[in-house]
Amino acid sequence: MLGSLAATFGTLTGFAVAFLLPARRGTRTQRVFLGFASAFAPGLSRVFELPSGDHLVVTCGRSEETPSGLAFRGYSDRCPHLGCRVHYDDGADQYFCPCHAGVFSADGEGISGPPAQAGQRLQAYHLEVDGNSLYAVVNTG
Amino acid sequence: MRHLLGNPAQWLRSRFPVDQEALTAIGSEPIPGHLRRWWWCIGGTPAYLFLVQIASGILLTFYYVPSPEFAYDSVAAISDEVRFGSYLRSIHKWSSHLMIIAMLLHMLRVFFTGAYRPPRELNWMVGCGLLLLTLGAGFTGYSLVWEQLSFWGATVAANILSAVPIAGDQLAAFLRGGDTVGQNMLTRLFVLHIGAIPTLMIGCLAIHVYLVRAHGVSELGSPNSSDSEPFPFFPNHFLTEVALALFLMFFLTCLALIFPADLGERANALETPEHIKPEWYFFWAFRWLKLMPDQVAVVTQGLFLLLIVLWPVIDGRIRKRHPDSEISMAVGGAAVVLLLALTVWEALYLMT
Repeated sequence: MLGSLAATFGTLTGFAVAFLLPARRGTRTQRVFLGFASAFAPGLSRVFELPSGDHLVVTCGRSEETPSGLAFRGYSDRCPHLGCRVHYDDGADQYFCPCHAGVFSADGEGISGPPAQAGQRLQAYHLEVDGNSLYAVVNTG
Repeated sequence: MRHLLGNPAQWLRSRFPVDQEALTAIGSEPIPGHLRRWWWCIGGTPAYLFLVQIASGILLTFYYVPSPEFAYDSVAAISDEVRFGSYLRSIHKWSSHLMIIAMLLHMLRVFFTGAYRPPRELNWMVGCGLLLLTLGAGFTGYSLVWEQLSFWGATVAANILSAVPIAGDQLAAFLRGGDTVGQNMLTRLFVLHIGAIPTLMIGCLAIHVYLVRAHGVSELGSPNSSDSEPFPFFPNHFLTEVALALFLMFFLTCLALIFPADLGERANALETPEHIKPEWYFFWAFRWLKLMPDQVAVVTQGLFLLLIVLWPVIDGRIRKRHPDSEISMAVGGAAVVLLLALTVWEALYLMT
Protein backbone atom coordinates (compact mmCIF):
# COMPACT_ATOMS: atom_id res chain seq x y z
CA MET A 1 0.00 0.00 0.00
CA LEU A 2 2.76 2.42 0.98
CA GLY A 3 4.67 1.59 -2.20
CA SER A 4 1.58 2.21 -4.34
CA LEU A 5 0.94 5.51 -2.58
CA ALA A 6 4.54 6.62 -3.01
CA ALA A 7 4.58 5.59 -6.70
CA THR A 8 1.24 7.25 -7.54
CA PHE A 9 1.59 10.50 -5.68
CA GLY A 10 5.36 10.69 -6.26
CA THR A 11 4.73 10.52 -10.01
CA LEU A 12 1.96 13.10 -9.75
CA THR A 13 4.22 15.40 -7.73
CA GLY A 14 6.82 15.04 -10.50
CA PHE A 15 4.16 16.03 -13.06
CA ALA A 16 3.24 19.06 -10.92
CA VAL A 17 6.88 20.19 -10.64
CA ALA A 18 7.39 19.76 -14.40
CA PHE A 19 4.14 21.68 -15.01
CA LEU A 20 5.36 24.61 -12.93
CA LEU A 21 8.85 24.79 -14.38
CA PRO A 22 9.04 26.69 -17.68
CA ALA A 23 9.49 24.32 -20.61
CA ARG A 24 13.00 24.07 -22.05
CA ARG A 25 13.31 25.54 -25.51
CA GLY A 26 13.65 22.92 -28.22
CA THR A 27 15.45 23.21 -31.53
CA ARG A 28 12.59 24.35 -33.78
CA THR A 29 13.23 27.74 -35.32
CA GLN A 30 11.15 30.25 -37.20
CA ARG A 31 11.98 33.29 -39.33
CA VAL A 32 10.39 36.50 -38.10
CA PHE A 33 10.14 39.33 -40.63
CA LEU A 34 11.66 42.50 -39.17
CA GLY A 35 11.53 44.98 -42.05
CA PHE A 36 13.22 45.98 -45.27
CA ALA A 37 17.00 46.09 -45.25
CA SER A 38 16.96 49.20 -47.42
CA ALA A 39 15.25 51.10 -44.59
CA PHE A 40 18.50 50.83 -42.60
CA ALA A 41 21.66 52.90 -42.91
CA PRO A 42 25.07 52.30 -41.31
CA GLY A 43 25.02 53.31 -37.63
CA LEU A 44 21.23 53.01 -37.41
CA SER A 45 19.75 50.84 -34.65
CA ARG A 46 16.15 49.74 -34.09
CA VAL A 47 14.41 47.68 -31.41
CA PHE A 48 11.89 44.97 -32.38
CA GLU A 49 9.50 43.01 -30.19
CA LEU A 50 9.56 39.30 -31.01
CA PRO A 51 6.51 36.99 -30.71
CA SER A 52 8.02 35.60 -27.50
CA GLY A 53 7.90 39.09 -25.95
CA ASP A 54 11.69 39.43 -26.02
CA HIS A 55 13.18 42.59 -27.50
CA LEU A 56 15.80 42.51 -30.20
CA VAL A 57 18.21 45.37 -30.94
CA VAL A 58 19.19 45.33 -34.61
CA THR A 59 22.20 47.44 -35.54
CA CYS A 60 23.32 48.18 -39.07
CA GLY A 61 26.97 48.50 -40.05
CA ARG A 62 29.06 48.52 -43.22
CA SER A 63 30.31 45.44 -44.99
CA GLU A 64 32.28 44.88 -48.16
CA GLU A 65 31.13 41.27 -48.34
CA THR A 66 27.43 41.84 -48.99
CA PRO A 67 25.87 43.19 -52.22
CA SER A 68 24.09 45.96 -50.37
CA GLY A 69 27.21 46.96 -48.45
CA LEU A 70 25.28 46.59 -45.19
CA ALA A 71 25.85 44.15 -42.33
CA PHE A 72 23.34 43.49 -39.58
CA ARG A 73 23.79 42.22 -36.05
CA GLY A 74 21.07 41.47 -33.53
CA TYR A 75 21.22 41.16 -29.75
CA SER A 76 18.67 40.80 -27.02
CA ASP A 77 18.28 44.12 -25.21
CA ARG A 78 18.22 42.28 -21.86
CA CYS A 79 21.40 42.87 -19.86
CA PRO A 80 22.68 39.48 -18.61
CA HIS A 81 23.64 41.11 -15.29
CA LEU A 82 20.21 41.91 -13.80
CA GLY A 83 17.87 42.11 -16.78
CA CYS A 84 17.77 45.87 -17.42
CA ARG A 85 17.44 47.03 -21.02
CA VAL A 86 20.57 48.03 -22.87
CA HIS A 87 20.59 50.64 -25.62
CA TYR A 88 22.92 51.19 -28.54
CA ASP A 89 25.36 54.09 -28.47
CA ASP A 90 26.08 54.75 -32.14
CA GLY A 91 28.93 57.17 -31.38
CA ALA A 92 30.97 54.52 -29.53
CA ASP A 93 29.45 51.55 -31.41
CA GLN A 94 28.75 49.96 -28.02
CA TYR A 95 25.74 48.78 -26.02
CA PHE A 96 25.21 50.48 -22.68
CA CYS A 97 23.23 49.31 -19.67
CA PRO A 98 22.14 52.27 -17.51
CA CYS A 99 21.41 50.25 -14.34
CA HIS A 100 25.01 49.48 -13.32
CA ALA A 101 26.97 51.11 -16.14
CA GLY A 102 27.60 47.88 -17.98
CA VAL A 103 29.16 48.28 -21.40
CA PHE A 104 29.15 45.73 -24.23
CA SER A 105 31.28 45.87 -27.35
CA ALA A 106 29.84 45.82 -30.89
CA ASP A 107 30.09 42.00 -30.88
CA GLY A 108 28.07 41.78 -27.64
CA GLU A 109 30.90 41.04 -25.20
CA GLY A 110 30.88 42.69 -21.77
CA ILE A 111 33.84 45.09 -21.69
CA SER A 112 33.12 47.22 -18.64
CA GLY A 113 31.10 47.14 -15.41
CA PRO A 114 29.52 44.03 -13.80
CA PRO A 115 28.94 42.13 -17.08
CA ALA A 116 32.66 42.37 -17.93
CA GLN A 117 33.64 41.23 -14.44
CA ALA A 118 31.31 38.22 -14.74
CA GLY A 119 32.42 37.45 -18.30
CA GLN A 120 28.87 37.92 -19.63
CA ARG A 121 27.73 38.82 -23.11
CA LEU A 122 24.49 39.86 -24.80
CA GLN A 123 22.39 37.05 -26.26
CA ALA A 124 22.95 37.08 -30.01
CA TYR A 125 20.21 36.47 -32.60
CA HIS A 126 20.88 35.08 -36.04
CA LEU A 127 19.69 37.54 -38.72
CA GLU A 128 19.12 36.72 -42.37
CA VAL A 129 18.74 39.02 -45.36
CA ASP A 130 16.62 37.50 -48.12
CA GLY A 131 16.45 39.87 -51.07
CA ASN A 132 15.54 43.13 -49.40
CA SER A 133 13.80 41.48 -46.43
CA LEU A 134 15.44 41.28 -43.04
CA TYR A 135 14.53 38.31 -40.80
CA ALA A 136 15.43 37.18 -37.30
CA VAL A 137 15.74 33.43 -36.81
CA VAL A 138 14.15 32.68 -33.43
CA ASN A 139 13.72 29.55 -31.39
CA THR A 140 10.06 28.54 -31.06
CA GLY A 141 10.48 25.54 -28.79
CA MET B 1 19.85 20.17 13.10
CA ARG B 2 20.57 17.95 16.13
CA HIS B 3 23.11 20.49 17.35
CA LEU B 4 20.55 23.30 17.12
CA LEU B 5 17.41 21.56 18.40
CA GLY B 6 18.76 18.71 20.56
CA ASN B 7 16.35 15.86 19.85
CA PRO B 8 14.24 17.18 16.90
CA ALA B 9 11.26 14.87 17.65
CA GLN B 10 11.20 15.92 21.29
CA TRP B 11 11.66 19.59 20.31
CA LEU B 12 8.65 19.37 17.96
CA ARG B 13 6.48 17.50 20.50
CA SER B 14 7.09 20.12 23.18
CA ARG B 15 6.36 23.02 20.76
CA PHE B 16 3.41 21.29 19.07
CA PRO B 17 1.79 19.17 21.78
CA VAL B 18 -0.54 16.46 20.50
CA ASP B 19 -2.61 14.24 22.75
CA GLN B 20 -1.67 10.92 21.18
CA GLU B 21 -4.28 8.96 23.14
CA ALA B 22 -7.10 11.32 22.14
CA LEU B 23 -5.97 11.17 18.54
CA THR B 24 -5.96 7.37 18.58
CA ALA B 25 -9.40 7.33 20.24
CA ILE B 26 -10.84 9.63 17.56
CA GLY B 27 -9.21 7.69 14.73
CA SER B 28 -10.23 4.24 15.86
CA GLU B 29 -13.85 5.11 16.66
CA PRO B 30 -16.04 2.16 15.69
CA ILE B 31 -18.23 2.52 12.61
CA PRO B 32 -21.11 0.31 11.44
CA GLY B 33 -20.22 -3.00 9.83
CA HIS B 34 -21.97 -2.28 6.53
CA LEU B 35 -19.20 0.26 5.72
CA ARG B 36 -16.98 -2.72 4.95
CA ARG B 37 -18.67 -2.83 1.55
CA TRP B 38 -16.95 -0.80 -1.15
CA TRP B 39 -20.19 0.83 -2.21
CA TRP B 40 -20.35 2.64 1.14
CA CYS B 41 -17.22 4.65 0.42
CA ILE B 42 -19.19 6.87 -1.93
CA GLY B 43 -19.40 9.57 0.77
CA GLY B 44 -15.62 9.89 1.06
CA THR B 45 -15.14 9.89 -2.73
CA PRO B 46 -16.32 13.50 -3.34
CA ALA B 47 -14.09 14.67 -0.47
CA TYR B 48 -11.06 13.03 -2.08
CA LEU B 49 -11.99 14.39 -5.52
CA PHE B 50 -12.32 17.84 -3.94
CA LEU B 51 -8.67 17.56 -2.87
CA VAL B 52 -7.75 16.59 -6.46
CA GLN B 53 -9.68 19.66 -7.66
CA ILE B 54 -7.86 21.95 -5.24
CA ALA B 55 -4.40 20.60 -6.12
CA SER B 56 -4.95 20.64 -9.91
CA GLY B 57 -6.80 23.97 -9.71
CA ILE B 58 -3.94 25.68 -7.85
CA LEU B 59 -1.51 24.44 -10.49
CA LEU B 60 -3.70 25.64 -13.38
CA THR B 61 -3.98 29.08 -11.75
CA PHE B 62 -0.22 29.50 -12.25
CA TYR B 63 -0.87 29.88 -15.99
CA TYR B 64 -4.50 30.99 -16.37
CA VAL B 65 -5.04 34.69 -17.17
CA PRO B 66 -8.50 35.95 -16.11
CA SER B 67 -8.97 38.51 -18.88
CA PRO B 68 -11.30 38.26 -21.90
CA GLU B 69 -8.32 39.07 -24.11
CA PHE B 70 -6.01 36.36 -22.81
CA ALA B 71 -8.16 33.74 -21.01
CA TYR B 72 -8.70 31.55 -24.08
CA ASP B 73 -5.05 31.83 -25.15
CA SER B 74 -3.84 30.95 -21.67
CA VAL B 75 -6.05 27.83 -21.62
CA ALA B 76 -4.77 26.92 -25.10
CA ALA B 77 -1.19 27.41 -23.89
CA ILE B 78 -1.85 25.17 -20.86
CA SER B 79 -3.22 22.48 -23.19
CA ASP B 80 -0.67 22.73 -25.98
CA GLU B 81 2.57 24.17 -24.60
CA VAL B 82 2.98 23.63 -20.87
CA ARG B 83 4.41 20.29 -19.82
CA PHE B 84 1.66 18.03 -18.43
CA GLY B 85 -0.74 20.95 -18.99
CA SER B 86 -3.25 18.94 -20.99
CA TYR B 87 -3.07 16.14 -18.41
CA LEU B 88 -3.68 18.46 -15.45
CA ARG B 89 -6.49 20.33 -17.19
CA SER B 90 -8.13 17.01 -18.06
CA ILE B 91 -7.71 15.73 -14.51
CA HIS B 92 -9.32 18.96 -13.23
CA LYS B 93 -12.22 18.59 -15.64
CA TRP B 94 -12.86 14.88 -15.16
CA SER B 95 -12.53 15.00 -11.38
CA SER B 96 -15.23 17.70 -11.34
CA HIS B 97 -17.56 15.43 -13.33
CA LEU B 98 -16.80 12.42 -11.13
CA MET B 99 -17.24 14.56 -8.01
CA ILE B 100 -20.75 15.54 -9.07
CA ILE B 101 -21.63 11.93 -9.99
CA ALA B 102 -20.29 10.70 -6.62
CA MET B 103 -22.22 13.40 -4.75
CA LEU B 104 -25.46 12.54 -6.53
CA LEU B 105 -24.97 8.83 -5.79
CA HIS B 106 -24.15 9.65 -2.16
CA MET B 107 -27.32 11.76 -1.91
CA LEU B 108 -29.41 8.99 -3.44
CA ARG B 109 -27.98 6.51 -0.95
CA VAL B 110 -28.66 8.83 1.98
CA PHE B 111 -32.18 9.60 0.72
CA PHE B 112 -33.32 6.08 -0.06
CA THR B 113 -31.89 4.60 3.16
CA GLY B 114 -33.56 7.34 5.21
CA ALA B 115 -30.20 8.48 6.62
CA TYR B 116 -31.40 12.12 6.55
CA ARG B 117 -33.96 11.46 9.31
CA PRO B 118 -33.60 12.79 12.89
CA PRO B 119 -31.15 13.80 14.18
CA ARG B 120 -29.39 14.17 10.81
CA GLU B 121 -31.73 16.64 9.05
CA LEU B 122 -29.28 19.53 9.34
CA ASN B 123 -26.48 17.45 7.84
CA TRP B 124 -28.69 16.66 4.84
CA MET B 125 -29.16 20.41 4.34
CA VAL B 126 -25.42 21.05 4.63
CA GLY B 127 -24.89 18.26 2.07
CA CYS B 128 -27.40 19.94 -0.28
CA GLY B 129 -25.42 23.17 0.16
CA LEU B 130 -22.26 21.29 -0.80
CA LEU B 131 -23.94 19.95 -3.95
CA LEU B 132 -25.14 23.43 -4.96
CA LEU B 133 -21.67 24.86 -4.33
CA THR B 134 -20.13 22.08 -6.44
CA LEU B 135 -22.55 22.83 -9.27
CA GLY B 136 -21.61 26.51 -8.89
CA ALA B 137 -17.93 25.60 -9.13
CA GLY B 138 -18.71 23.55 -12.25
CA PHE B 139 -20.54 26.44 -13.90
CA THR B 140 -17.90 29.06 -13.07
CA GLY B 141 -15.05 26.75 -14.11
CA TYR B 142 -16.74 25.94 -17.44
CA SER B 143 -17.17 29.68 -18.08
CA LEU B 144 -13.54 30.55 -17.37
CA VAL B 145 -12.35 28.81 -20.55
CA TRP B 146 -13.94 31.71 -22.49
CA GLU B 147 -14.67 29.63 -25.56
CA GLN B 148 -17.87 30.14 -27.58
CA LEU B 149 -19.97 27.60 -25.68
CA SER B 150 -18.85 28.69 -22.23
CA PHE B 151 -19.12 32.40 -23.07
CA TRP B 152 -22.67 32.06 -24.31
CA GLY B 153 -23.46 29.67 -21.45
CA ALA B 154 -22.41 32.42 -19.03
CA THR B 155 -24.46 34.96 -20.99
CA VAL B 156 -27.57 32.78 -20.83
CA ALA B 157 -27.02 32.04 -17.11
CA ALA B 158 -26.86 35.75 -16.33
CA ASN B 159 -30.06 36.28 -18.31
CA ILE B 160 -31.75 33.41 -16.47
CA LEU B 161 -30.90 35.13 -13.20
CA SER B 162 -32.82 38.18 -14.45
CA ALA B 163 -35.96 36.01 -14.40
CA VAL B 164 -35.74 35.50 -10.62
CA PRO B 165 -38.69 37.41 -9.15
CA ILE B 166 -38.04 40.73 -7.35
CA ALA B 167 -34.21 40.62 -7.17
CA GLY B 168 -33.54 39.13 -10.63
CA ASP B 169 -32.05 42.19 -12.28
CA GLN B 170 -29.83 42.90 -9.27
CA LEU B 171 -28.60 39.27 -9.19
CA ALA B 172 -27.81 39.36 -12.91
CA ALA B 173 -26.03 42.69 -12.56
CA PHE B 174 -24.06 41.28 -9.63
CA LEU B 175 -22.91 38.26 -11.65
CA ARG B 176 -22.09 40.35 -14.72
CA GLY B 177 -20.57 43.22 -12.76
CA GLY B 178 -22.42 45.54 -15.14
CA ASP B 179 -24.73 45.36 -18.11
CA THR B 180 -22.62 43.27 -20.44
CA VAL B 181 -20.62 40.04 -20.28
CA GLY B 182 -16.97 41.06 -20.25
CA GLN B 183 -13.99 41.66 -18.01
CA ASN B 184 -16.03 42.31 -14.85
CA MET B 185 -17.97 39.08 -15.21
CA LEU B 186 -14.87 37.04 -15.95
CA THR B 187 -13.18 38.49 -12.85
CA ARG B 188 -16.23 37.61 -10.77
CA LEU B 189 -16.42 34.08 -12.16
CA PHE B 190 -12.70 33.67 -11.43
CA VAL B 191 -12.99 34.94 -7.84
CA LEU B 192 -16.03 32.75 -7.23
CA HIS B 193 -14.32 29.71 -8.77
CA ILE B 194 -10.95 29.89 -7.04
CA GLY B 195 -11.83 31.79 -3.85
CA ALA B 196 -15.37 32.16 -2.60
CA ILE B 197 -16.85 28.79 -3.58
CA PRO B 198 -13.92 26.60 -2.42
CA THR B 199 -13.78 28.50 0.88
CA LEU B 200 -17.50 27.96 1.48
CA MET B 201 -17.09 24.31 0.48
CA ILE B 202 -14.29 23.77 2.99
CA GLY B 203 -16.52 25.30 5.70
CA CYS B 204 -19.52 23.16 4.73
CA LEU B 205 -17.35 20.06 4.45
CA ALA B 206 -15.95 20.66 7.96
CA ILE B 207 -19.50 20.98 9.36
CA HIS B 208 -20.63 17.93 7.34
CA VAL B 209 -17.81 15.72 8.66
CA TYR B 210 -18.22 17.07 12.21
CA LEU B 211 -21.94 16.23 12.16
CA VAL B 212 -21.24 12.74 10.78
CA ARG B 213 -18.84 12.21 13.70
CA ALA B 214 -21.19 13.81 16.24
CA HIS B 215 -24.22 11.70 15.24
CA GLY B 216 -22.25 8.68 14.05
CA VAL B 217 -22.81 6.92 10.74
CA SER B 218 -26.47 5.85 10.44
CA GLU B 219 -27.15 2.16 11.01
CA LEU B 220 -28.46 0.15 8.13
CA GLY B 221 -31.09 -2.61 8.29
CA SER B 222 -31.48 -5.12 11.08
CA PRO B 223 -29.00 -4.96 13.99
CA ASN B 224 -28.75 -8.76 13.80
CA SER B 225 -27.66 -8.87 10.17
CA SER B 226 -24.32 -10.40 9.31
CA ASP B 227 -22.53 -7.08 8.71
CA SER B 228 -23.79 -5.27 11.83
CA GLU B 229 -20.52 -5.88 13.72
CA PRO B 230 -18.79 -2.47 14.08
CA PHE B 231 -15.13 -2.04 13.18
CA PRO B 232 -12.57 0.73 13.77
CA PHE B 233 -12.36 3.64 11.32
CA PHE B 234 -8.56 3.60 11.48
CA PRO B 235 -6.87 1.73 9.93
CA ASN B 236 -9.59 -0.49 8.39
CA HIS B 237 -11.94 1.97 6.70
CA PHE B 238 -9.18 4.53 6.19
CA LEU B 239 -7.19 2.02 4.12
CA THR B 240 -10.28 1.26 2.03
CA GLU B 241 -10.55 4.98 1.27
CA VAL B 242 -6.82 5.13 0.40
CA ALA B 243 -7.19 2.19 -1.99
CA LEU B 244 -10.17 3.95 -3.57
CA ALA B 245 -8.10 7.14 -3.92
CA LEU B 246 -5.42 5.16 -5.78
CA PHE B 247 -8.02 3.62 -8.07
CA LEU B 248 -9.56 7.05 -8.75
CA MET B 249 -6.14 8.44 -9.70
CA PHE B 250 -5.72 5.56 -12.16
CA PHE B 251 -9.25 6.03 -13.53
CA LEU B 252 -8.80 9.83 -13.86
CA THR B 253 -5.50 9.30 -15.67
CA CYS B 254 -7.21 6.91 -18.12
CA LEU B 255 -10.00 9.44 -18.74
CA ALA B 256 -7.47 12.28 -19.15
CA LEU B 257 -5.45 10.29 -21.68
CA ILE B 258 -8.34 8.83 -23.67
CA PHE B 259 -10.65 11.86 -23.52
CA PRO B 260 -8.44 14.93 -22.92
CA ALA B 261 -10.19 18.23 -22.15
CA ASP B 262 -10.86 19.87 -25.50
CA LEU B 263 -11.06 23.51 -26.47
CA GLY B 264 -13.78 24.90 -28.70
CA GLU B 265 -13.79 28.10 -30.71
CA ARG B 266 -12.65 31.35 -29.10
CA ALA B 267 -15.50 33.40 -27.57
CA ASN B 268 -17.04 35.84 -30.00
CA ALA B 269 -19.44 38.34 -28.44
CA LEU B 270 -20.83 39.20 -31.89
CA GLU B 271 -21.85 35.70 -32.94
CA THR B 272 -23.95 33.21 -30.99
CA PRO B 273 -23.24 29.59 -31.98
CA GLU B 274 -26.10 27.58 -33.47
CA HIS B 275 -26.38 25.25 -30.48
CA ILE B 276 -25.33 26.30 -27.04
CA LYS B 277 -25.27 23.77 -24.25
CA PRO B 278 -24.35 23.72 -20.59
CA GLU B 279 -22.51 20.87 -18.87
CA TRP B 280 -24.55 17.64 -18.61
CA TYR B 281 -25.51 18.28 -14.97
CA PHE B 282 -27.50 21.34 -16.02
CA PHE B 283 -29.29 19.60 -18.92
CA TRP B 284 -32.41 19.06 -16.80
CA ALA B 285 -32.64 22.78 -15.95
CA PHE B 286 -31.90 23.79 -19.54
CA ARG B 287 -34.68 21.53 -20.87
CA TRP B 288 -37.09 22.79 -18.20
CA LEU B 289 -36.43 26.36 -19.35
CA LYS B 290 -37.40 25.41 -22.88
CA LEU B 291 -40.75 24.03 -21.74
CA MET B 292 -42.22 27.13 -20.14
CA PRO B 293 -41.77 30.89 -19.70
CA ASP B 294 -38.48 31.87 -18.02
CA GLN B 295 -40.00 33.19 -14.83
CA VAL B 296 -42.23 30.14 -14.31
CA ALA B 297 -39.27 27.83 -14.97
CA VAL B 298 -36.98 29.65 -12.54
CA VAL B 299 -39.60 29.77 -9.77
CA THR B 300 -40.50 26.08 -10.15
CA GLN B 301 -36.82 25.09 -10.19
CA GLY B 302 -36.28 27.12 -7.03
CA LEU B 303 -39.25 25.45 -5.35
CA PHE B 304 -37.97 22.02 -6.43
CA LEU B 305 -34.56 22.70 -4.88
CA LEU B 306 -36.25 24.00 -1.73
CA LEU B 307 -38.29 20.80 -1.55
CA ILE B 308 -35.10 18.72 -1.74
CA VAL B 309 -33.32 20.80 0.91
CA LEU B 310 -36.30 20.85 3.32
CA TRP B 311 -37.44 17.28 2.67
CA PRO B 312 -36.20 15.95 6.05
CA VAL B 313 -38.43 18.49 7.83
CA ILE B 314 -41.44 17.77 5.58
CA ASP B 315 -40.88 14.02 5.89
CA GLY B 316 -40.62 14.41 9.68
CA ARG B 317 -44.00 16.14 9.82
CA ILE B 318 -45.60 13.43 7.67
CA ARG B 319 -44.09 10.61 9.71
CA LYS B 320 -45.27 12.22 12.94
CA ARG B 321 -48.86 11.71 11.75
CA HIS B 322 -48.23 8.49 9.83
CA PRO B 323 -45.22 6.75 11.42
CA ASP B 324 -45.07 4.01 8.80
CA SER B 325 -45.29 6.38 5.85
CA GLU B 326 -42.87 5.61 3.05
CA ILE B 327 -43.95 8.55 0.92
CA SER B 328 -40.28 9.58 0.67
CA MET B 329 -39.70 6.56 -1.61
CA ALA B 330 -42.41 7.74 -3.98
CA VAL B 331 -41.29 11.38 -3.88
CA GLY B 332 -37.61 10.44 -4.33
CA GLY B 333 -38.41 8.01 -7.11
CA ALA B 334 -40.53 10.60 -8.94
CA ALA B 335 -37.82 13.25 -8.59
CA VAL B 336 -35.12 10.90 -9.93
CA VAL B 337 -37.31 9.84 -12.89
CA LEU B 338 -38.16 13.49 -13.69
CA LEU B 339 -34.52 14.66 -13.55
CA LEU B 340 -33.30 11.70 -15.58
CA ALA B 341 -36.04 12.13 -18.18
CA LEU B 342 -35.29 15.85 -18.62
CA THR B 343 -31.54 15.18 -18.81
CA VAL B 344 -31.89 12.40 -21.41
CA TRP B 345 -34.40 14.48 -23.40
CA GLU B 346 -32.00 17.42 -23.61
CA ALA B 347 -29.03 15.14 -24.38
CA LEU B 348 -30.95 13.50 -27.25
CA TYR B 349 -31.99 16.92 -28.56
CA LEU B 350 -28.39 18.15 -28.55
CA MET B 351 -27.20 15.01 -30.31
CA THR B 352 -29.56 15.50 -33.25
